[in-house]
This record gives sequence, C-alpha cells and structure tokens, in this order.
Amino acid sequence: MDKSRFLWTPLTWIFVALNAFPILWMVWCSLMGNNEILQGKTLPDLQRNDVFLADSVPGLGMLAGTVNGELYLYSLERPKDEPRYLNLGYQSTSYSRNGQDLWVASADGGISLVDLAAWQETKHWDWGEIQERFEATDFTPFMELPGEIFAREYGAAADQFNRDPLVEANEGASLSEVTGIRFSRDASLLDSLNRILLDQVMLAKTLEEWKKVPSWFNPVIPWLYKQERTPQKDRELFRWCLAERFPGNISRFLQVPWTDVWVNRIPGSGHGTSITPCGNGQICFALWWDDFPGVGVLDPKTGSVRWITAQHGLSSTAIQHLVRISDREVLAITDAGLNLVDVVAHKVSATFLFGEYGLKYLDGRDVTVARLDSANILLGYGQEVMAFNFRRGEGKSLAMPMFRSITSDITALEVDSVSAFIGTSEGVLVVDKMDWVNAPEDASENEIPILLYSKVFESNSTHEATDAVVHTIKSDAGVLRLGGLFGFASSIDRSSHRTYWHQQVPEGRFQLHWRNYEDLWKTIPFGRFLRNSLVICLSVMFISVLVAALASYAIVRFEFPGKRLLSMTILATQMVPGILYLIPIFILFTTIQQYVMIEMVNTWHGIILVYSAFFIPMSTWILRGFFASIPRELEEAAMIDGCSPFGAFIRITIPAALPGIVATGIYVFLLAWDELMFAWVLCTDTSTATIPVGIRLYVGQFGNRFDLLMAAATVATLPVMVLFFLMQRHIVSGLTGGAVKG
Amino acid sequence: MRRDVWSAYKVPLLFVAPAVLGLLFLHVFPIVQGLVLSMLESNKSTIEQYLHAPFVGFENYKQILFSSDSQIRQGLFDAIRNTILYTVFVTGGTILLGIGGALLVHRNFKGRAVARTLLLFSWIIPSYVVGMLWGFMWQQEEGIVNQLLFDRMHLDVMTSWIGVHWDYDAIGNLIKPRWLTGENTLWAIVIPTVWRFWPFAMVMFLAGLSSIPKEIYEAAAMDGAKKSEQFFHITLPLLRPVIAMIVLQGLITNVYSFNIVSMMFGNGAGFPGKYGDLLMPNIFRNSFQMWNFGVGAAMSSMLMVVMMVVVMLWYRRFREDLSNG
Repeated sequence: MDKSRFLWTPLTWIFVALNAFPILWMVWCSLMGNNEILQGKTLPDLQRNDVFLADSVPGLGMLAGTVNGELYLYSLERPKDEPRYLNLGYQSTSYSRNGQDLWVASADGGISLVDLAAWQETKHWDWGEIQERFEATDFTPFMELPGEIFAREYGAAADQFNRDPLVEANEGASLSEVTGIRFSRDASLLDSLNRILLDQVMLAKTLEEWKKVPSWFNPVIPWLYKQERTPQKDRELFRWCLAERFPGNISRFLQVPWTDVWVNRIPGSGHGTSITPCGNGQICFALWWDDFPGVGVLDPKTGSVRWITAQHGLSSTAIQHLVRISDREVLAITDAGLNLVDVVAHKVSATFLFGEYGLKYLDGRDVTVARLDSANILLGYGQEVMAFNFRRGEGKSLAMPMFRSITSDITALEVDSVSAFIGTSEGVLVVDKMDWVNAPEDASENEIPILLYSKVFESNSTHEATDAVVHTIKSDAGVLRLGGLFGFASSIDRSSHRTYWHQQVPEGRFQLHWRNYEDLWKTIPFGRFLRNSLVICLSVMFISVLVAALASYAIVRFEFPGKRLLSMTILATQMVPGILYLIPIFILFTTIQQYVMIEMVNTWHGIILVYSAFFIPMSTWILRGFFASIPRELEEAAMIDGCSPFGAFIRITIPAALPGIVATGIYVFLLAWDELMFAWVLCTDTSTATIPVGIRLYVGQFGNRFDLLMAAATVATLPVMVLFFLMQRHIVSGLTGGAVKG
Repeated sequence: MRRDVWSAYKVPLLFVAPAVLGLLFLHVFPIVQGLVLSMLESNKSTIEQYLHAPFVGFENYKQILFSSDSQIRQGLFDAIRNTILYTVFVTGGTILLGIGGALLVHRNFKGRAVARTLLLFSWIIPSYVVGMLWGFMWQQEEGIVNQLLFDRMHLDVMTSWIGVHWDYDAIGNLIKPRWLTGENTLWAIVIPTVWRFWPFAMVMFLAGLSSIPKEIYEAAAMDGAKKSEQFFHITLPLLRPVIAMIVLQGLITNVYSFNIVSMMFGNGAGFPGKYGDLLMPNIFRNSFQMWNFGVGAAMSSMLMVVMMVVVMLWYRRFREDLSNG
C-alpha cells in the first residue's frame, strides 16, 4: 500500500509531466522572442538589462534607461529610496534626450515620447501607424543625388530624352516629342521630369507610347500595365519604364522596402534602433535592418513622416547610428558608409562609402560614433578610431597607444569641449581631444596623456570579466555619466576622479508575449491555411461519416450478396500504402484537367473527394462497432409501426448511435487534419494549401524563426485538441471497442 | 435472377452503394492503375499520355531490384534498413511504454482520470507538428534536449566518470551531439514517434486490463503468487490479443510513416539524410520530386506485396490469440 502511494503515484505524475513537456515547451516557445530562443535563454531566467541611457534630470535625480524599455529614476537626496519606475515594455530600445523630453525608439514598440517631469509616456506611434504613413508616401518624384558623377549625367540624359525614341529600334517619338518638353542639360531636368509625373495627360501619352514595346525585362511593368490604373500606379509605371529604357543614375528607380515582421523584431542585434531629434522639433529615426525604408523624419505635431531612402541616395538602409550634426543635418552611419542627410532640403547631401576617402572597411564590425564638431566625427570600430571630416571627405586613423594594455573593443565614444572618452570593457579612457586628433598616427603614450577610470561601476557582482563594459558615456559639466551591461549605471566626478553615485538596475523581466500569434496572420497567409484546413476537414468529416454510416449499418443489419467481399476490401485497403493511390490519382487528376477541363489539382473539391474516399473504409470499420451495440428490436418495433427501413435508420438508429457517429466524425477530422502527403501533392498553392503544406511553402521565409514555427504549431494543434477532449470517451471506446473485439 | 437479387436486397444495396462507388473509383481503380503504371515509363514528359505512356514491362522493377548503378537505387538500401529498424524500435517502444503506462494509471489513486487525460496529450498532436516540434527540440545549440542534458544536467561530466568520451572545442566548450545529422538521426525520429503513438497503446492496454476479471488475481494471490508472477503469468498472456492488434497497427503505420520524418528536417524542406530517410519519403521523392511515377508505382506495389506477406505472417503468429480474445 505504501509502495503504491510513495513510489508509483509520484512516478505516475512524473511520467505525466515528462510526457506533456514537449507540448508545454511548444506553447512556451511560441510566446517567446526568437532572439532569446537562439541565444538559448529559453528557460525562465531573467533578462540581462543593459543600460543604454544614463543621464541626470535636474531637480529629479539620476535617470537610467535599459535596452528592454524600462526607465528608472533615482533620487539623489534619498539614495536609499526605491527608484521611480516606468515600464515601456519594448525591446531593443534606444533613447535620445532633449531637455525634459525623452525620445524612445524600439524595434517592437515604435516611437514614443516620454515626459520626464510628468514621468509618463505622452505620445506614441507604433510601427503600424508608421507603416500607414509609409504606404501613403509617393516615392516616385525625381531628386538630386549626391556626387559629381550624378551631376555629369544631366547632359547625356537630356540628350537621350530629347532625341532617342521611346520605343527602341523604332523611329517613333522621343520623350520630348511626346510630352512637348524640351529637356535642358542641367539640374532643371529633374523639375521637367517631375512635371511629367504630375501631369495626367503627358503621363498617359508617354505610357501609351511605351505600350508598344514588345517585351519588358522588368516583370513589374507588364504586371502594372494590366492593373487598374491610378495616378500613383501610372507614376510608378513611368519610372520603371524610364529606368529600363534609359538606364542611368537619373532614371534609376528602386523599390522602397518595408517588411513589417522584421520591424517588429530585429534579429541578432541588441541595439538596432536609432533616434535623434533634428530641427523644428522633428525626430529622425532609423533601423539597423535592410528591409526598412531608410531614415524617417517624424513631425510630432502632425504625425507625418517623410522618408529619406536609397532612392534619395542613401548608401544602405541598414543604419547603425544616427548622429545629430546640426538642426538641419543628421549623419546616418549605414553598413556601407556615411550619409550626410539634409533634413530641411530632404535629401542626402553627401555619401562616403567605407573603403573610400580614407575610411576603413567595416568588416561586419559594430561602429561607435561621436560628433567632434560641425564637420568632424570620431568613428570607433574594433580597437581603431578614425577622425573623419565629412565636409571634405578626409579620414585619418588616430593613434591608439592606450590599447597596449587593454584587450577589449571600443564599446562607446563621447566627446566634450576638451576631452574625448573611450568606453571599453575595462573602464573609460580619457584623452585630450585636440592632442589626440592632431597627434601623428604612431604617437606614443607620452605624447598623448591618458587617464583610465577602471572599476567604473564599483560593483561586487559576479560578472567579473564583463562588469565594466561601458555602453554609454555622457559628459555633463564636469561629471561623467556611464551606463553599462548588466544594468550598471554610475556617475564619476571628473575633478576628484571619484565615483560618487552608482546603481545597478534590477534585471529585466522575462518577456512572454502574443506577438508571434499576431505575426503569424500578418506575415504569411496563415489565416487562409487555417480556413483551407477547416473547410477541407469539416467537409471530409461529414461526407465520409455519412457514407460510412450507411454502409456500416447495412453490413451490421442486413445480409446481402458481396457483404463478405466488401468487409474484406474495407480491411484490405488499410494495408495499401497511401502513395500507391496518390500517384495514379495525381496522374488521373492532371489528365482530367487536360481533357475534361475540370480543375482537380489545387481545388477544394479535388482534395475533399480524395480525402473522403480515403477515410470511408476506416470510419465504416469503427462505426460497425457502434451500430452493433444498438439493439435490433428498437428498429423492428419502429418498422412494425409503419416506418420504412430508411426511416427507421434515420429516426431510431442514428439518434441512438449519435455519440459514436460524432466520435467517428471527430476521429476522421483528426486524421484529415494530420494528413500531409496527399495535400503536399494536391494542394500546392495558397488558395488550397492546408496548414502543414502552408508551413512548408513558407519554410524559406521562416528561416530559423522558431518562435513563429512554434506559434504555427500551437495554432495547428488547438482545434484538434479541443475537439478531441470534447468527445474523448467516445473516441477511445470506439477505437478500442473495434480493436479489442478483433 | 438479377431482378430477384435487386428486389430482395434493395435496401442494403442502396445503403452500401455510395461506399462501394467510393471504394471502386478511389481505391480499387487507382490501385489497378498503379499496378499498370508500374510497368510504364511514366515521368514528367510522358505524364500527358496518361496510361498510353511507353510500356516497359518489368523494367522499373528490374531497375529497383537488380541494376546497382541506377540512380533510383541511391539511398534505397538505407531507407529500407532505416524503415525496418524504425518500425521495430517504434513498435517495441510503444508496446513497452503502453503496458507500463497502462499499469501505472490502472491503479486507483487520486486524480487518476486527470492523469489519464493528460497522458493522451501527445497522441492528439498532429504528427506534422510532432516533426516540427522535435526538429526544433533536437537542434544542437538552440534545442531544449541538448540544453537540458548538457547545460543543465552536465551529462558529459556525469558520464565521463564511467569512461564515455566527449569532444571539446578549443576554448573547452563541449561540442554537443548533433541529433539531426549522422547516426543519431534514427533516434531523433524513433523517440518522437514513440512519444506520439504510445498513448494509443496505453488506451488499448487499459481496455484490455479492465476486461480481465479481478477474481483471477485474487485466486492467484491466494495461491501465493507474487505481483511479478501475476504479471507474467496472468496479465501478459491475457493481453496478447491487444498486443497483436498493436503490433499490426505499428507495422502498418510505421512502415508507411511519412509526416514526422518529412517535417522534421528543415521543416519539410530538408533531406532526412542517410540515417533518417524512410521508405515513404524516399518513394515520395522519387515520384514527385524526380517525377518518376513509374518507378514510384513499382516501388509502392512491391512494398504493398511485402506488407501483405508481413501481415500474413502476423496473422499466422497471432491467430490463436485473436480467436481467444
């Protein structure tokens, strides 16, 4: 007795837990972010909470903001007090301070404005809203691109537009003749082109002429020609055609990308967002992600967003940092190079690629950056720092004698009026700005006096090797504010070289969220797959159970010639490999399609027909047991009262066997839901693909998005789970009844 | 005469008519067609000719069976070996776990109904989800299996005491086992399949167990039989019909297993590899990716014949048990 209680019963529950674990794991992972899954942080650990903002708010205290979108405000007068806490709940958050305003950009939340005095989020634009603004933007206007090569092309382009026929190898009209505009050989050419874009009549005439082109290389063009025409589509069409007919920098037209699933979560980067205020109270933001339009300029008053994209000459749209240069200029550091963006004139005024102008190649390294003055910046990558003049395009590697004893990479850079600060994983190095910039590249430590603040966070933590990684430096009236990994923040008094304040913010909470389930419907047509699966499986369920109920009833109740043969056939079909049906059925269907002109492959009726037939033998076999258990006398009594055999079947037998019939139906539903091989061949496009086929279709797009896969798996499991537990007892009895009796 | 049959059996014949039509057109007819196809050179270019594709007699069969350099033969032996091992391991594991689980929840204890229901969980999961889920769980670095075994339980340290060898990289980190490539693949497909199907065996065994009268055990206990003796001499023999049914089920479902393997590797896009490929995915690839319908039909026809023999053997082995049960 004791053995049972203390050994077997606990063992049973352990067994139950182990058996259910993979399912719980699936649901758990579907609520997680993919970054955490890929980094193996899937067990309930608390998240590392790196400080990406360390600053002081006059009259309020010390402010620390974390990568997870949590803000802490520590009071200086009462250091023992609990900090004020504001949870924005975003990931990959970056901050930009502007007086009492704190601008927050995050990879999943969008853009927010926090009023520090009121200590609340006052404004918020999520990516959905920003996407709406994006979709409303017209990217077709021609614009001036930076660079001399571009300027030199005006002449050649004007000649082409004036002279060359619109349709190649055709003595037809040129663009100038069609539109009646004479193109000049300078920058006003762009205005002329933009005039065509705005003039419906000219546009229509040009497109009519281009319709004569027998074949376009760009598949978008014939597709657009077939679409219903709107002014916006006409403009796009004009640009695509012009780009193909007269290729060159002036006619160049690019698709401006927007992939919203990736906006929601930037992979592999803890810090993929940039935000900075620019003039007129506007805000510039960007993402370190290729499929994002580029630099967005948000006007907080109206909520309008203007974009500066690759179409404007941005060298890449994966932007690591935005650096505010002046009220009208922002420097965007992309994976490919530096772009000076003029926010007021709404253009890229200069581009410098890595590998040119003395800039070293990035080689996939992260960049840290600090603004020296209105013409120079410091760029740090690896253990190197460059000074770069983006007015003249001159780069210079700076001497780095201080790195003789330090092994880490540069993690932060900051400049104030006198000094430059270099954050590393071993503390902060301080050098005189002018000494450093002007020193020769091989200068020794004696020529550049260096001060090292080590142990900047004064922590007793266990993260020994990394506890001093400085992530953000702010020099503020003789005080250094530092933020680091693992939630460290501190303030160093520059005159006494003493850390007079330090804190470690609590670890970030473990984040579970529904976002994967939202992404599932948005990024892939999962809703359509679900609908296909439901329609197909429900129809199959009804059809095959109906047919099987009739047949099994006849087998149980009546004697008829061929009954034994029928029973044997039903059993035998279960032993035939499914693929032996599938191959002939596939060939048969394609033949029918070809000769009888009835679509069979990729249609609902095709797959429903096949599935129904496929599950009839099995349901007949299961239903036999249920019908056999109903006493024959009931029907006989009904028939004596004047019922026909069919009437008796409908009025007496079906109601009596209903639980069994429903259970069989659900079992068929489960099997149909689980079928992959037939669907793989017979439902190959999104209009009919069931869930497993749909998942397969989008494998490439999923990549190793395990979070999305697990969300899809959970959604695929849920309906069958619910159905099964509704009818659990009957299904079990139906299956075992048939089997145990033999 | 015909008229007599019709009038005498009108009702039952009408009742079975739809099922018979379905069987004829979508079972018998395709199988006959499949047998014909197996003797045709049916591929992508001849698919339009339907059954008028060039007749090649037993050429397809010959290619599969005897021409050792044929492209079709590539990996076929592996697939056959894997299928046999897979079927044996899965069926055996299912029966062992099924009996064990059934005995555990057959006892009376608090929450028995809940435990039984929870144990059925893994059986209801669609098998393609099982493939996806375990394909994720088996990942070398991101997978929970390796994380639990090596990051949490430090299996390498535990087993190195008894002389098991583990490889470490230059910095001294353990190189965790790869489950989805190499010989481990077989276990990577066997374990999820057992996990998926054993609750069904448990349900069957529970039905079998509850049909054994209590008096037999009471009598045996009176005679001084120990629990283990009771199990081996009463329970097991009386469960033989159930075991027979599960063996049959296991044979058929596992030899024809497709979903788990084809969804586990690259979420349906990948090739299961030398140690993970089974016959069904192999035939499927031959038929629908290399478009050799004739060869695919020949392979599946042969498989059908082999399975008939296997089922016959099964019947001879378990005939007595079935008639007793």
